[in-house]
Amino acid sequence: MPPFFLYGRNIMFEALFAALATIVSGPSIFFLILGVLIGLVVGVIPGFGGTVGLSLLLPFVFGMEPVSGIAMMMGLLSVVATSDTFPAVLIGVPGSVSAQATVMDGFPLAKKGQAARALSAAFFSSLFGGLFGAVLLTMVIQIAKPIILAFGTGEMLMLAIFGISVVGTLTGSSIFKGLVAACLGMIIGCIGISPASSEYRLDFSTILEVQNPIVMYLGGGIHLMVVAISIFAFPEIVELLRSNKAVSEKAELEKSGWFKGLRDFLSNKFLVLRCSFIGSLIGLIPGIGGSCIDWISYSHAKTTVKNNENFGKGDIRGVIGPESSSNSKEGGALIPTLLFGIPGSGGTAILMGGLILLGVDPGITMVDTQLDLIYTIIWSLAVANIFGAIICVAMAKPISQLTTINFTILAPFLISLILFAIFNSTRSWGDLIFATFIGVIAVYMKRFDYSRVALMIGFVLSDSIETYLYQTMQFYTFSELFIRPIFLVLILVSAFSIYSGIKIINKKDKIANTKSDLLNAKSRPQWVFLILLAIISVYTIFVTDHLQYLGKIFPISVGLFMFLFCIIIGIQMFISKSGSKVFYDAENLLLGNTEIRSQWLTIFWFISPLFLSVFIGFYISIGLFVFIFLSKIARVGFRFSLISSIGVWIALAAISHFMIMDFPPGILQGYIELPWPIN
Amino acid sequence: MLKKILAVFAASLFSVTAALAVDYSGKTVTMWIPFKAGGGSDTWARAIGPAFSANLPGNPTVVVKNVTDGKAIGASNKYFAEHGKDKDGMVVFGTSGSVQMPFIFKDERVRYQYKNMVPIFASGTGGVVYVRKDMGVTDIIKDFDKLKGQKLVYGSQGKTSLDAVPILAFDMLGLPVNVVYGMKGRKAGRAAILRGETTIDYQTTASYLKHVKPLVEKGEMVAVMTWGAPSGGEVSRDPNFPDLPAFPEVYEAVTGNKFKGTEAKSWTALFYAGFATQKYVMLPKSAKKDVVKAWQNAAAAIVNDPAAMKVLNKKLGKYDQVTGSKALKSALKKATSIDSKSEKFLQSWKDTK
Repeated sequence: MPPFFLYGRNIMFEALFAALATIVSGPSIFFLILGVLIGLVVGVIPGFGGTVGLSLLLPFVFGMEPVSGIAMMMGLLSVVATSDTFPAVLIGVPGSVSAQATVMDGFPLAKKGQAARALSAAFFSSLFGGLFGAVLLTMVIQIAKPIILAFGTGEMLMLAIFGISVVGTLTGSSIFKGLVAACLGMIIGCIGISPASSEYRLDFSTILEVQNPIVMYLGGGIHLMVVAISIFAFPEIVELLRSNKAVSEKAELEKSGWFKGLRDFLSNKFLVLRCSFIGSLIGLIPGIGGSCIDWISYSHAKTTVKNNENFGKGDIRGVIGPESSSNSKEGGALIPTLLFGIPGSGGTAILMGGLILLGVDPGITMVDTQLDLIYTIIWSLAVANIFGAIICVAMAKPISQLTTINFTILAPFLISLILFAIFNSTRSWGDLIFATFIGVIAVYMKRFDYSRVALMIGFVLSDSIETYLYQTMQFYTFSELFIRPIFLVLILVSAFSIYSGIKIINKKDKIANTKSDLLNAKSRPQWVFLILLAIISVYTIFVTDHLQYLGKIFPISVGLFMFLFCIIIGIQMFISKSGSKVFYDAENLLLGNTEIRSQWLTIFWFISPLFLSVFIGFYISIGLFVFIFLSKIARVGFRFSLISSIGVWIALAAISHFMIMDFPPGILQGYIELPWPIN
Repeated sequence: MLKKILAVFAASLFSVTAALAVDYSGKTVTMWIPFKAGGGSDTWARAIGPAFSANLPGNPTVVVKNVTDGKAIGASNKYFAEHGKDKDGMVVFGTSGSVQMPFIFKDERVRYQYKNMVPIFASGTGGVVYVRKDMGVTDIIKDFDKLKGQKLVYGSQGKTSLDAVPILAFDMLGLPVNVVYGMKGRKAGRAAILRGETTIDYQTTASYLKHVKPLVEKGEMVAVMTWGAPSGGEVSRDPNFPDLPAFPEVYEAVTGNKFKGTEAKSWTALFYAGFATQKYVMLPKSAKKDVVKAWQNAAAAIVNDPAAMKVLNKKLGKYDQVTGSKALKSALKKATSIDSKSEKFLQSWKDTK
């Protein structure tokens, strides 16, 4: 077949513009805008992403006219990765999976009073990324087959390894602490059914009875959002609560934030272009999943720009990079979905379900027989992105005012929202308990400078590495593997990534050594935490030892490495003097500061609604918590507290109704039949 | 005479109260689906949901509730814990092969019992086995020795999943297939054979027609056999693919044995659970008689609903939808009960290799 631009060029363009006409005229445009609006809301609420949003739409899609249905679903899917930036920047909580890396620099920018700037730069990058994805989809849909098929399991393994290799560039000042965190992430990823031997792992079934709720929960594996929210949001909120201040350290927000964001976007156009390309390319390959794209492009931004010292402390380029790629990946992920019926991301998987309900079956024949529908999808993607970006940019400034409100007043709402988002992951008590556990670990990881990003990347790639490593060994011999060009290129890329990681760490070393001795003073909790981590690694080794070879080799290897790294850190701590960077402890700077609340008190506040729920159920407990917190701790007055808690109750009831969702019951509900929604 | 009048009167009174008892007007009926939104079972449920709504007395709103807490097994256990003693039929259970398989393989986590269930509606599907063109095979029976000599690799999700059907079939034929696990669903298996990493694969009928048949027509893949379809207590040729031999037929031709005995029985049980009657709508046995009747009547009406049938056929291929109390009971029995010999065989087969 000749390349697409020689092959039926006129027909292609005709179909392309006919599809545009169908989208913007008639009822489809209203459904598109409706989809965009739902998508924006879904993106803003942490824990809801395109996957949840689309599954909400499915019942309405059935029986709709296909073009309108496609327009609505695409409208939603295209803008989630745009609006999920709001919570990432404003409160440091990713709105959906694709905003994980945006938190890194977006939130520090908000602390500097530059929330509007960060947001608008993110929206312009997102818009560009989305359009880039749409253009790419148009150009390559007819020739993409060999590209996708060239990525075998060997290549996917190398992509996963490349993903892990960026840990070096993103971790804190101690490489070993970063590695321990990555191992811990991989161990959390091992929980559940093993890919190669279908055995249950790390589910406590060795000490508990198999039908115990804990064992049943862990057997299902840990949901991505449970880890993502608790690892990032929990420590940030605890910290903000302790300081009892607003997010923004400046009372007055910077003026002209909107325009500045546009300028930032324009002056980094090549970075935007590169990251958009990375996003689309990785999105194109089914099997790797979208969750590590943000980190790869964040790491790419960090390693390729000049003067990267401020990354992680509020560099606008750390927002622009991942935002361009997170939105361009949808265009890429649509290619295998439409071409093979093999979705490239969680969102496109549900989109496919929706398309089938509409009577449109994506697959090889679609390119030949239903090209017009493919163009409808592409245009919906492009038009929705434009609408989404316009709405978000317009809202950036007013919404950033939130960062000037004292955080103690916002906290109960956020805590309710986060607990709800976590619970929505698999709608189980286990989600809440596990998230609390990870959240507390994350507080200490932040305090002692163990990289939380490393944990996240380890978790996201754990399953890919294990599965593809085993499958690659089954499918290829060594010599077959080393004549595959893409495989070799990816090895080089990973090697380069590790090299630049080492360079960055060396630079950080110099900076770390100039910091005050006060920050790096010896303390006992550091030892306690290290020993706890070592125990987790030893536990992993022991409880997976009875499994089949294929089921245990990965967790045991990871456990051994983690134990080794713990020993190295232990030795460093043993031989170093107080003041060495291995003793980093953010708490040391706060000693004697009486304005700061105690760490455990704020953690207690965070989990108190859960304790309450055990007795009276989640629904009653959340409203009560909001009321008590506002009136006793934030001291905002009785009337405001009451109205707020009733508002939260109404919102939860509405969600329960529309999402067909029951909240976790407590002991009370076990004894008394109660009416909806408190039952 | 008086007796007769009284009897008619009593009967009419009874039917009036029955009609009063089962009226869902203004109510919301829930279909409990132990799978996430957008997947196969979810699409199936969302296709038959509106049809049930249109055909149940009082036309209730039918909503699909995706319960994913503890995955398929956990969510099914939860249904039984919470609704196992319901009488009103307000929450019905939708199951699929992935719920039946762990039951057959006696997974310790399973707490549901099919004998405590009343089936309302069942949908079946089939499967087609195909190989890459470079295997040089056109007819599995004639070219069997040729196929045996090839490097056969199959990408699987796990031995106790639906893949038990193909893996046991390969074993029974004596095909030296290297089974590579860790595939995330049949889609990933299809991707692997497209890339040439695996050489033999199967897809369910709908997926085969959509994604593999075009490749067969282009000459990239060759379809070799189907799992078959149930007809009169036997597994015979799949009516969707009359030119392809069914597995039992291939087995008899290449091994020279009759399709009988423990292995064949075990395979047939797995086939019924995973394909022939794969997806069920069920009520707990505690449900009132007239509730069951109302649901079964609605199910019978769905089969005549062209809109719902169109989606079902697309999703599962053109197979009979099982309705009617008797047919359903025997289908469910075939799909979920297994004699002790076969059970023992499957337990030891599961642990080999």
